[in-house]
Amino acid sequence: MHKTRYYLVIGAIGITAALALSACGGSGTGGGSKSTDQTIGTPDGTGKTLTVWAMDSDLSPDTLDAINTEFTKQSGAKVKLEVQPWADITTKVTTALATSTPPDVLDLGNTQIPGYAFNGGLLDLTSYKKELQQGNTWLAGLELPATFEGQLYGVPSFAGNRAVIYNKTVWAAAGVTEAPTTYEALIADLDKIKAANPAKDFSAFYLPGMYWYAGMQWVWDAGGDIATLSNDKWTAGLGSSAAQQGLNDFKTFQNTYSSVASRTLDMDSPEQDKMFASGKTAAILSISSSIDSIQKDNPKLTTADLGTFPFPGKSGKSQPVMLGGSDWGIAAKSQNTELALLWVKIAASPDIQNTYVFAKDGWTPNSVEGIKAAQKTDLPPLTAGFFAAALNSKSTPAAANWAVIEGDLSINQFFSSIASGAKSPADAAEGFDSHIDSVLNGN
Amino acid sequence: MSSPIPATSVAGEGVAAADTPGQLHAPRSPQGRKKKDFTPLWLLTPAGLVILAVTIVPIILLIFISFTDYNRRSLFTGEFAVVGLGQYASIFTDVAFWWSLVRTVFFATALVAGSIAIGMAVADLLTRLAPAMRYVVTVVLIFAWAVPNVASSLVWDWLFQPGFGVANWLLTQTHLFGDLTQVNWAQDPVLAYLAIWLLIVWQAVPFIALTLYASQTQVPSEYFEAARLDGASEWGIYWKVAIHFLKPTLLLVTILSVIWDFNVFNQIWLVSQGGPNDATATLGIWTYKTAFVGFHIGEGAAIAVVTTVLLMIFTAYYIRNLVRAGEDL
Repeated sequence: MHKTRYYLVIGAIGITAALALSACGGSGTGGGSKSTDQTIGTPDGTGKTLTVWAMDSDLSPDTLDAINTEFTKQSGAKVKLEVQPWADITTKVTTALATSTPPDVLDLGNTQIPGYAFNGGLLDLTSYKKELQQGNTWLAGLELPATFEGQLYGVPSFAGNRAVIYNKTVWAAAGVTEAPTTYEALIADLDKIKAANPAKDFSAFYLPGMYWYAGMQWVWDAGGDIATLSNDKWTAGLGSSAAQQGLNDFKTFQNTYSSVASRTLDMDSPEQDKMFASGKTAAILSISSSIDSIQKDNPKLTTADLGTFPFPGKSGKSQPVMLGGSDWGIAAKSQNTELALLWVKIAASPDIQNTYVFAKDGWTPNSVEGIKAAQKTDLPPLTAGFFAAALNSKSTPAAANWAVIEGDLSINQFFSSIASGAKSPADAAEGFDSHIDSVLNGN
Repeated sequence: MSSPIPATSVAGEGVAAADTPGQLHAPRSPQGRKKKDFTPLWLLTPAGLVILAVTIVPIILLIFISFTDYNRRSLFTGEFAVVGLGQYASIFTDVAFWWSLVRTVFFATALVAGSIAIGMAVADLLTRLAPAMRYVVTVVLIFAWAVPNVASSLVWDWLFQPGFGVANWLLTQTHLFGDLTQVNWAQDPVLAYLAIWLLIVWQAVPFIALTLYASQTQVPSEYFEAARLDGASEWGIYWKVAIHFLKPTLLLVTILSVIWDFNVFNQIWLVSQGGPNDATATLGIWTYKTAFVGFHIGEGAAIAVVTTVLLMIFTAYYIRNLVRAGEDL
């Protein structure tokens, strides 16, 4: 078999470029010595522009502004910020990383990093790790997916997870004044709310059928998982009896408390925040930034009207949540790696993390120290529900090809076909499990 | 009996040829050798270069990639291996390919039949309208045609959105189909096809209608008058007289429609993403998922090559007819 080895040429060009860049980049790497720890320093970026891809509804514009301002102050370079929508993002990022002029810094979902790292699209940041950590211990849920074969390819940006956001006023009108702590109590409360709000398009708990992050909480709570790794082979597990139990419970809950229309919908069309803000539902499972967007959509909903609590599980504990979040990656083909490193260092700094990522946006900060600092402050009541839910968290399989499962929407279709009754949980799992097996074990 | 005459004529021709060699050849060949006229080539060069760069080179590259295992890793590292016909073998043994092919043929047939039939009806309508109304209809057609299909697909999503969709609300108001307000068109196999069919046909009709109308206005009116005097019905006149003249144009728009509808992607992806459970996953969707979600670019290229060959087979008959019609003129 004939192997084409263009990569040698590309590698040579890359090394030359890296040497050239570090040579003109201020404090640089200390005469090209082969020390494992390199320093970022303060590169002079006058006249240069750094392109940053941020994801829609991740960090707020205020936070990004603060990072950019500090970056421009230190380096003199400008920042071109491009906010990307989530639709087709894996396709978009992959093609962007493959071009010769990719965005320099990218906001990457923690579940997607292994794929880009495996394929060589991201810059290896291992030698800068110490400086980027800035004395902190990063959250494992953000650092591990960004670590591939022992090398670091992403810098933790923030963590986030899901909790129930509910409309206290609507719940109180139905006679429910306290947040439920058990699954049975939640069911009893939702029955009361459903009885008090008989409108056909009202959902006691709006839970779109394609919303797989939510659906997985039932599977995890019942003891199932998407796939497990043993002897370097992934085995899908949605057909297991535990997972099936969870899927059946998900279907019953979804069909009972969410509108018929929602069975085949995803959470973004229509947006569940807007459904909540417009009074079509009194409870959703969502991320903390939803509180802000709900209040923007409907300013009449004050903080006193809203409440949060971890979704209670049948197991007696709160349902495990998916520890989502983002890391900052730097394109392997970036022309401004030194500036990109500086930008990422500022974004991960304790100052930005505490003052903006946590205090302004309500996200979980990227480090253990950050969480401790946040807990010392009086946690706002609406944030407390999210922090409580985060204590029991899970993640998607750390496989290089996991992004394919998210990208081809098969997991959305899987949950939707169960919610709509198009397939029984057993039939749906049979087809989906074989798809997972072939994708995760393929190359 | 006839031998002397040909003999004479051959001899005569021979003599004539021998007498005037210069007259037959001289005016052409020296001129051609001296000053070969490159003007047409120069005039074609800009367009030719563009076609070479954006069509021919990519096609050659596509065919080459279809014989390799080019994947996501190759995008970054440039490393790939030539696998011969391996990609083609894996396509033909994949059940998903045969199902998407069946869906594509079925759906493209429905799209072509629908858009041609409605296009013909609208074209005929245009010939019968008063000028003012004709302008109105033409402008409306052009507006529908001018909407980018990504924009129209998003509008379609909103029109048919469960809970809020105007189409669902209107249909419910008719009391003919029961309560449709909670129906998600995109996630019901039959309704998803119907919604996408309506969307594509709506935007395909203007081109077909305007082209056929232009062609229909070129038919000499004497033929219609004569047929009417002979007592033919309007229906009969259309089928016997108008269609006869429209045939070449009809063939052309049919071939183009087959090609466009066979490859339709945007509308399907934006309305149903190939769902529910791959019910609307046509060859275009399957190619996209293979090449740009799974990033098996080699296999995706092979599917594209196979699709092109299939299209050539499907349209070969029409293209032959078209070429023949051209020869007759």
